[in-house]
Amino acid sequence: MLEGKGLINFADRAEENIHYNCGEFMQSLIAFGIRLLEGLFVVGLAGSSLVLVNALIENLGTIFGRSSDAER
Amino acid sequence: MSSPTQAGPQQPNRVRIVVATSVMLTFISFWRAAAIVLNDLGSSAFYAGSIAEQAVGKAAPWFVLGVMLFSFTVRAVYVESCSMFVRGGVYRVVKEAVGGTLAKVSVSALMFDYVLTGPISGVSAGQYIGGLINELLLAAETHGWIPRALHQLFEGTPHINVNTTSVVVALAVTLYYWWQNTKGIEESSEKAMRVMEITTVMVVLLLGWSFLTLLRGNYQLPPWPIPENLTFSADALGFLKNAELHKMFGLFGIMIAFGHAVLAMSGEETLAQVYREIGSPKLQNLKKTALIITLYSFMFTGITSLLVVMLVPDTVRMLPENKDNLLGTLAMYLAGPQLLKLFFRAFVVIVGFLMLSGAVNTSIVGSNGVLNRVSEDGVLTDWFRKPHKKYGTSYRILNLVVALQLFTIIVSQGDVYVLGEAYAFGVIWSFTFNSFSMLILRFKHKGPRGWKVPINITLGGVEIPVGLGSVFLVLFTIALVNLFTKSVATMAGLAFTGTFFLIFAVSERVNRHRLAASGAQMMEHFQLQQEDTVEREAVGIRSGNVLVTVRDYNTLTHLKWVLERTDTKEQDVVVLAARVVPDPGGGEFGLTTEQLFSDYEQLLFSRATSVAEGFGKHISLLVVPARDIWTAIAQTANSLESSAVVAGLSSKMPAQEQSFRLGRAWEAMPEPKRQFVLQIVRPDMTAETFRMGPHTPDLKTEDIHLAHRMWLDLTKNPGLDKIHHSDIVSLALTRLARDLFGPERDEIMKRLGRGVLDKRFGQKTPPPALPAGEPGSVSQSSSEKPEKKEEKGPAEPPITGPE
Repeated sequence: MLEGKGLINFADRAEENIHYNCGEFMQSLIAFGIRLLEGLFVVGLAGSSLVLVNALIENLGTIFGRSSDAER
Repeated sequence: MSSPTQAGPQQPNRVRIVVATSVMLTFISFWRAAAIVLNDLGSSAFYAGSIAEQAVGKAAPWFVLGVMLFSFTVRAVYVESCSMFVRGGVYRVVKEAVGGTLAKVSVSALMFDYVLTGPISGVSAGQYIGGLINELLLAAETHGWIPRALHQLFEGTPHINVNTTSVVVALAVTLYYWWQNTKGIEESSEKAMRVMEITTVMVVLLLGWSFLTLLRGNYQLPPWPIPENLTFSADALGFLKNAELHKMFGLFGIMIAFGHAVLAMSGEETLAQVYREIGSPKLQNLKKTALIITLYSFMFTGITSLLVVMLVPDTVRMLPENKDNLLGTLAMYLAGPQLLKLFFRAFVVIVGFLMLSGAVNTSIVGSNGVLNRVSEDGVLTDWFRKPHKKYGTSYRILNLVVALQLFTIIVSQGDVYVLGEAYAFGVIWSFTFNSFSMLILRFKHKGPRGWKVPINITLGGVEIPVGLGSVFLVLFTIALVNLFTKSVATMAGLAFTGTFFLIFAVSERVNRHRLAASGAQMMEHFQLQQEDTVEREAVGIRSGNVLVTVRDYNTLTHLKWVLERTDTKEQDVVVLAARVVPDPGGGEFGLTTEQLFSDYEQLLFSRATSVAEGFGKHISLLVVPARDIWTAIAQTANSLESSAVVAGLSSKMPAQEQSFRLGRAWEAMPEPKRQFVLQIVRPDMTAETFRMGPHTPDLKTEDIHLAHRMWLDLTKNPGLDKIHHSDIVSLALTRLARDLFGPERDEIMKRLGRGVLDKRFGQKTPPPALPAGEPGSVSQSSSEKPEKKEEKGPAEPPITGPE
């Protein structure tokens, strides 16, 4: 989903499309900030997907009694 | 195990007070725990999809589904925090990880979440009711059932203003639960289960019927969640509405949309609240609870949001009269006869009202718990925790919370969208603080925990919490994006959080100065000894003691009654103050002495000590934390091997009801348990006695005479000359037990019911007289008022234990 064609096109056009009334430095800073946020979000989302799959499998194991973790 | 942590050297002039720090709880199954959480979490199904669609357009259901999947990872963070802290809420976790300042900020954000849960749920309930009323009026109009005068009055089809209705409903529901909480009526897991059972029926019907409708082929899939398909409203972009950044950065747009759907996972904090009450094996049951919640909320909130967009036409869905009660509208677009759909819509509205009004209660209970918790921690002054004179609840905190909620409801004017947008601020920031703190704790407290969020890689002997870090990154980035795109939430949230933080900070400073002064004074009089659990040896008393429960320092008549009649050289007297600890939002390993022994307890025990000094008798003092007062009394009496519990007459209920409630708590206790008597002392110093647990019933004189007459009659017969009175009673009971499972059950129940009513509430409803001489005639005696024993004093030890 995140690597869809539309998304890549949007991202490619991003730098050249910044056109509001602020200085070049600010524009670069905002662009960098947003890129950083996007990067962190994608990394987080990828990691969270793994957490989701792992935790679901583990919890199903708990329900069906195949979990290795013992009650402390 | 008892582990004294604060026992200093005994000083002769100081009164020793044992402070137990483990809360006495009754435990619940994971099903009940899931029901309690779902009552809060599931209620967002009624408004989350609508709010998201108003913000980001038709692709919204995909984001709601995504958030529901992601919520499982947030839940995983909560499971880890619960495995570390029994009361693993935001406040304690953040405080442990990064200290008090950020803990106060996080709890302020959590308060914003809790305070807004009430208004959004109440207003949403009102929207569904208003929508249904208008739909019914429309149906009546179609059939020509509306009187012409009414038609003329409304200049068309009669209708009500849904927003005004929703404000009225929200105010009424909030005020109702405010009063319930002031009276101290507990949230019951039984009630939560019933609501969830009804909700499950509704969800199954809704999903099943919707899938059948889909088979007709007349549906549209929402557009895929890609940047081109996002159509943000001006409000949805907040401070960025003129910057058009979302158009330039595609992924940024997706993040904005995701941020507008996060409120669908509100209610996770409730999981931390119920963890303390989940029965053994605790962690396994918590995981089961988490999985049930995940699957249920995915199906309910996630799938229904999708079905709404698939089945309800675009032109209808976002109409002002429909947009805030989409599940009700969906019911009207299912395949089938109109009347059936109208009935189903009414059912959806009833379920919605039950769930949403339950969420209003949860918000009041939760806020009260959080503020009590920070108050116990010295962050708020004891003024906030002063118990209600009649009901013993922290009414000042309740008043503050409910006043804020009522204000929010009125200011919102019934606008669910505005409330939802603001609500998301508290939700996302409290999750962000929680996950950040758990991340810090991975490095700060490297010791073992019951469970860890998976994906942990060890590099060079250092464990990298990849999974936990990932969840934090998503939450943090979304929280940041929300700061810019939800202007109302940001301004309201920052103002609210800032105000609460300021109150906490100032109050804590004032408290610290005051405590330093009063602490020194207190230490001159009292010596606090902290214990994990209540044990007789720790309190330093003998078996067969008298336990006197106290709450109001103005009503200690029953303590005087006990001291007048007890020789404390022979029998110890223990004065017990049970400190009600509401469901907290914050959690910790246990409660500290300072949290339990506030100014109020100090004053209460000073008065109790004065009374004892007046009699020249020694008393032992004990404070226990309790979720339920009756459970705490029963468990303490059992642990201390008390022969009698003495209480004053409650202003809320008759003595019989007090005895019934304590008896129920006694029955719920696990074995081994001892029997004891409960003595209720009235203000006029007369007392009534009740026995807890199985005991020889107090037979009335006429019952004894009847048994005796029967014995005389029977022993005249050959072969029966050796029978005893007990054999007759035994036979009568055996036959009654048999009849209870036969066709006469209802009749017996009716008769017994009349008897119980007579006893518990002192009603005079004599049962119909039976012909004299028949065995049943004994029931005539039950028409009399229950025999009241005027007691001379507490029961003498030893009281017989369970046979």
